[in-house]
Amino acid sequence: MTLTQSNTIEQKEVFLELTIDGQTVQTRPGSTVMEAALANNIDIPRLCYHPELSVSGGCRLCVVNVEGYPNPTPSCGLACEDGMSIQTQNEELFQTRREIIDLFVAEHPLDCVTCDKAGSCQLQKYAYEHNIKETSHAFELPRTLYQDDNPFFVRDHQYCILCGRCVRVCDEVVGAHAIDFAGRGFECHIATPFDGPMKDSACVFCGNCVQVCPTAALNPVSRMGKGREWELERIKTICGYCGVGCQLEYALKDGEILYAQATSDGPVNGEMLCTKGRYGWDFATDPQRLTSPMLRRDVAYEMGLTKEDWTLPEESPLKVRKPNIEDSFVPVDWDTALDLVADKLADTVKEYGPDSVMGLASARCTNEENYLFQKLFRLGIGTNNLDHCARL
Amino acid sequence: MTNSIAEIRDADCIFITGSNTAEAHPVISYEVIRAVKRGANLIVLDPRRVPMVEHATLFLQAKPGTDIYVFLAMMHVMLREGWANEAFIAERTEGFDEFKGTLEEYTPERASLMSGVPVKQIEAAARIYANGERAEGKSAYIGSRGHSAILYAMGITQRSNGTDMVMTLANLAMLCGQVGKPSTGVNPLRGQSNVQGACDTGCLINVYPGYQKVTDDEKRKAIAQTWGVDDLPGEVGLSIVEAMQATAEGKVRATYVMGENPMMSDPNTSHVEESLRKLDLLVVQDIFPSETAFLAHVILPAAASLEKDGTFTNTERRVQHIKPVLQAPGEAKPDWWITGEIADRLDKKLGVERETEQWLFPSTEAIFDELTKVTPIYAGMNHARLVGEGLRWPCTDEEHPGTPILHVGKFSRGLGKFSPVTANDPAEQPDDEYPLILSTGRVLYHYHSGTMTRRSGPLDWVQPRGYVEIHPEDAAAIDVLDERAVTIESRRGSVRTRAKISENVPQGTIFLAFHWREAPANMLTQDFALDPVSKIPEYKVCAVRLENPRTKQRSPKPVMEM
Amino acid sequence: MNFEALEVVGTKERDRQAKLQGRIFCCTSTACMSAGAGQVHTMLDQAVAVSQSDEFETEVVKTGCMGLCSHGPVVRAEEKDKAAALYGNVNPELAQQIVSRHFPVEEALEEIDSDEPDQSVTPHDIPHFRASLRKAQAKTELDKNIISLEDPFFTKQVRVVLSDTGRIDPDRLEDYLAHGGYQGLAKVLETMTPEEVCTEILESGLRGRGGAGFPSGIKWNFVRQEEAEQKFVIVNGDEGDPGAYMDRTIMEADPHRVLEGMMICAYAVGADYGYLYIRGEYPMAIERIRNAIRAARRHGVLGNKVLGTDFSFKADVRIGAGAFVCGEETALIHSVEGKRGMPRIRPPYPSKSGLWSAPTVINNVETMANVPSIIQNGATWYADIGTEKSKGTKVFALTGHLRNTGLIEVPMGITLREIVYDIGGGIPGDKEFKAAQTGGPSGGCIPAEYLDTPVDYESLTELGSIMGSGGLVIIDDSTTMPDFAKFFMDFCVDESCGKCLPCRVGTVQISKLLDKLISGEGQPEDLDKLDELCQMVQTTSLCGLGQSAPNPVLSTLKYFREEYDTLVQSPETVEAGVK
Repeated sequence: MTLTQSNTIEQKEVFLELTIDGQTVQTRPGSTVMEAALANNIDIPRLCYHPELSVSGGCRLCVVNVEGYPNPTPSCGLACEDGMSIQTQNEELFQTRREIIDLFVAEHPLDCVTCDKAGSCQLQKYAYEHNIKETSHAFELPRTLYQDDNPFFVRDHQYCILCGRCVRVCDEVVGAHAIDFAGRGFECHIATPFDGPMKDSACVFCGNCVQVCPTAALNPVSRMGKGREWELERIKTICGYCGVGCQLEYALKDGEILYAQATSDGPVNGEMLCTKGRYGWDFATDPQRLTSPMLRRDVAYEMGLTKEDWTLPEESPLKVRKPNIEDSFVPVDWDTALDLVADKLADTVKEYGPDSVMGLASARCTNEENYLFQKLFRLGIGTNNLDHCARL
Repeated sequence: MTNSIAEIRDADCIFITGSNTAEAHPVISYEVIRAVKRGANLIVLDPRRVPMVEHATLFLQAKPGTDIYVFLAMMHVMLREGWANEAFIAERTEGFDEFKGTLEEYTPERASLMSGVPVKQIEAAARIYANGERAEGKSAYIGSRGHSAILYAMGITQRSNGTDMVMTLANLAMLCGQVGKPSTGVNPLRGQSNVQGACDTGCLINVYPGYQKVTDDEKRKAIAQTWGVDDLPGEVGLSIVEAMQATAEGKVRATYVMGENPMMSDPNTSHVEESLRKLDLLVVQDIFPSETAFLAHVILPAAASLEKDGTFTNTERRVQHIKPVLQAPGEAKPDWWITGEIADRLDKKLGVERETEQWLFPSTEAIFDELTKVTPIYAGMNHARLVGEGLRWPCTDEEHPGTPILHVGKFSRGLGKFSPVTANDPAEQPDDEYPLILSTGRVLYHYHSGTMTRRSGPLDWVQPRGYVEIHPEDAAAIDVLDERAVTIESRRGSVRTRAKISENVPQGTIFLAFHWREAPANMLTQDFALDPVSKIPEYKVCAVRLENPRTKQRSPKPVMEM
Repeated sequence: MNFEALEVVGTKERDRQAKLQGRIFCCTSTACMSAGAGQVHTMLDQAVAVSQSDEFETEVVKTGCMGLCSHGPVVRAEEKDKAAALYGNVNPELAQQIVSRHFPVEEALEEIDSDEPDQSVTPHDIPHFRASLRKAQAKTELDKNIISLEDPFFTKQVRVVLSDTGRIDPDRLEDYLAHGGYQGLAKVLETMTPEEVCTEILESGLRGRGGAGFPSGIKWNFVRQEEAEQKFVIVNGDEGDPGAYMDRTIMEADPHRVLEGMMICAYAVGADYGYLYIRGEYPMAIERIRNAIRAARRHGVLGNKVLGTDFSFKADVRIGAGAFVCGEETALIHSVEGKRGMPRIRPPYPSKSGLWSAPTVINNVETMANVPSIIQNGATWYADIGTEKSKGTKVFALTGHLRNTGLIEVPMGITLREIVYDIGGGIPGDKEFKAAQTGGPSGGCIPAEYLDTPVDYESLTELGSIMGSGGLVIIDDSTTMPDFAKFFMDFCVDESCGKCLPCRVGTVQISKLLDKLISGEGQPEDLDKLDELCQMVQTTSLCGLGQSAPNPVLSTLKYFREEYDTLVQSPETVEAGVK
């Protein structure tokens, strides 16, 4: 079958060719030198640049030499041109970058020994790579706000380097635009409207700002003071909430989740998550979790497992303010519970036929589990009375 | 979804209807925002002023249940103005001529009268969607038409005519040829982590794994053989809501619930509770003592998704591997282990001779391998292949790379069929006694029946209490103030919660999320009229009235609109 | 209105003015207004009303700046067929004398005894007022307020942009038309293609007067060649340099000229919408531009189908909120879009992706004001003024330690010496010229040895300063240069937007180093550090603000190094004011 014109996607593959550090690199028109370099595993130091966000050009760390240009030019905003020749590493650039980091740490306390972000802080990394132990300038802290007005993340302005990634992600990706730059020059800081509490702003607590923050200015509350980056075990999995299927990475210490974040290799979500995915994992360790099979007290009594008879209250469980499961149920071992279920199911099937049994599978269980569940009903019991909450 | 989530950012026009994307699927809303920031047009059709409206170029605020008129009128306008994609219709579809005739009566004027959406907006929406018009900037695609994508969710399906609604959206996309290419398509946003997978693996009344109809003898018998029997049940079973009815009538005697909470999530809760209490056996397998668990005979503790291994299939058909992060607490076990044990023991009690390997698997990988044998759309998958980005079905053999976009060049059924649809109104209309419409849904910080999110410290901090959104006029009519108590009554029951006065809902409509056990929205919803095909209850429209608990004032009879 | 009708209005106005026996021009620019020109204007108005008769018609015209701001309020009296007379430091009393001297009151209906001039007159007291005016006629105090029009302050100037400034009523479109206004626009709409307009501007050699000096013709051509549905023209009136008020004056004195230039530009590049971005501290400029827009719209000069042609153009005013950085074009664009005014990385230049991502021409007020004259008189005429690479004239706000301060327009290539000693009248008192600071906080200081340097883009840049937008501060030897540099550095510290690190932190560190030096705690190595830091900020900052912020320090370090050296060696000597 031939396709009509409008259904054909004819994206002509035009490539530009340029040289970066002596390596010939091909790239699409419209891409920047930074993008071309990163795509070819050429690492250029950068702080305000983030691949998912618009170009800021504020940190000046990604400067490169371009043949024919008098001054070093930031590569993040530099459009590739055919035949361009770029140098990303040389003594002059090293010195320029060193001076820039020197200035950064003139207003960023080097508290690395106690900092939660140590180990994954980008500024720390570049200070190390450029051998900056302390600033050669007069240290002055322009931003001292410490805002812990919500249980999601802490804003510690003294570590903020004003890269603006948080502002951009909030506006360009989340669409909330809850924060922006306020004040001028040295007084400049990232603020909610009138510096009010986060909850009164347009913030949706997705934490994508925390995700993209290169320093300790934004940190999840859940991890504060609980472990250093290099001590954490990291496990990638898929979020258990909605159907988008975001990949997230849990950082754990001693089997306890300290925080969740997304990683750039997430096939669906990249580095972005929503508030439920990023912060809604603490339910798993809630004390109300069911930890053993249980029988209702009347059933247990019938089986001789309890001494007191009991009847199910007439009152709807929805009407009970703080229901306590132990008031109505007694824990038993797995064999007792499973045998009882099998027994009663078998009785029902025998007495009323397979179609007297109904199964509700779960949209929150795995494919394997749902597969086995429907197999139990169709093969084991012999009914198609099988549904789940797809419609709810 | 016919298309991929990542393609949304390149779309020229995005049409969101019946989806509160920013709250229910935030990460997909990020893609929409990115498209809008690049100059795409965003059209939102919804009775509520959902957060995405902030970013929309066009907001069509249709009265609940009247959107079908708007869709039909959009197609009417497209044909009238010659915006339909004639070439696409000619080559890729069938049934157009018959379909075309049915549109004649659905003029934009009529739609406007029914829905309250101005004619000009309907025409503009038709023009922008059909031609894939951008608000600004250059398209990522070459061609005379821009690429338009439809995103929808439960606002379309949870209706007594949900199937018609979905067909209408499909017709709309086919009429403009906005399907089968990147950044287009008809894209349902699915609500739960593995709702797609639960459907794919056949946890539905009418299909075996891979959407093989239970009534299809050949396919059913093939599955039966793999499972070591001659045949399997070939009649369509009972859906949740039907089963509740059957339980009440004593036809269903035992129910095994795995990770669900019908006491919160099913319509007409009083009736659900009445039914569940009648069961001889109610087994609830869950991670928390849910409201349903309190009525169970046996509770089985399950491992949460954070604690187990397996695969999830997301809304764009991507099968991905999940890994255990935490240890399951106490004696909690993965659901697959529990189900397998029950099945094996049941065999023995029923005296069926079957090798235990049919039920007791050494790992989820082994279950998945069997799953792929009976599920053609998963046939080419295995756990090893899912490492990294996962695979998107259909993936029919080991070499198949997966399918990012459906219906490219050819529809799954061959030619795309235009299905004529007539506009039907919701089953329960407001009247003098119950003059308001209740629509249920979700909020950003909570999930489903709230068993998980209400136990999450940060999430519950933001929204610890339920509320009902009421239009200022409707609130004024019964003298209810913001943040004060209000009672909502329907023919099924009543719920008391706190009023949130907001112009995000149109006058005459109230909105209540179903996350809060203190204010269970489904006490109010109706279960008498389901969609005839999908059996989905009409959560989005039912008739209610408000009462001020202090003054006993009730919502007044509606004033006749001229 | 079409071309003919436009001309009729102009001719009518010209005829009306020709019939008048005399006209009195009262400067009502911000500088003169702050010196009391409001009262002077009222007095003139009333006096003229009383003195004129049917045979002897006169009028008072309120105008924009006449240039000699240090002598404000300034009033010029023109009698038919006589040389004009200019008066400085006018007060209401002197205003009466001016009127009675040039347009004598023939008869007094009553005599008054008091010598006190009547300044609280109301129309009911006309007879009394006439008497007062007659008395004033005899007085001669006025003579010492006469300013000679032959003064080099006037004769050394070449007025293109300011040609009508001080001669027309900025609030009357008719007056502008009578002086040949909108003829340039008419010419391009009637006879030229957009491409020809761009070529004309390119050939004239006009360069951006905002400071960077980019050839306007090239910029316009870039935008013209862009294929886009929507293009914009922005006039940058966010003049922020301390002491600079060229653009304010042009907008106050001749708003239609700015509009005309803008429309010619719009026609040339294919734009149909434009913004005038004016800083909020210029209420009078905002008001006059708004009046001009309204008048032009009423006369069909602005709007759909301009002058009956297919060209449409709409203009609107956007008011700046007091950020120096919004003079930078990308920050300005953000501000117009309603965002926080922060510069962004270039390219893409606004000519490719500017306001709301549409191709946009941004030119400063003075640049636009040059355009109508270039179009009317031709590129060659304009190119004949100035030097080889810097064509035309430049308006400067001449301030500092000078006898004559004010607004001047000089041909490119004039020497600093001519500006300082001829136009400026030299340094008052027994002080010596020490340095000239051009380009405001972004510029540098030029010492006495370079007084004979021609003022053009290249020469100034070579000296480590810049042309800038036209601020020209003359410093005498009572000023110590490190203090002077510190003043400008602190300005940049305050005005940095905070986006890029070198400007945000670097300027603070430079200022701290200067503090350390000035307080006498500096070490010799601090000077090297200062130099290094300045160069680093200069080369690595994102926008022009940061890139040029160290200029005052660098240029003073270069030319007045000994003053810095003394600070390091012995601070006391410098504090004592030793040169």
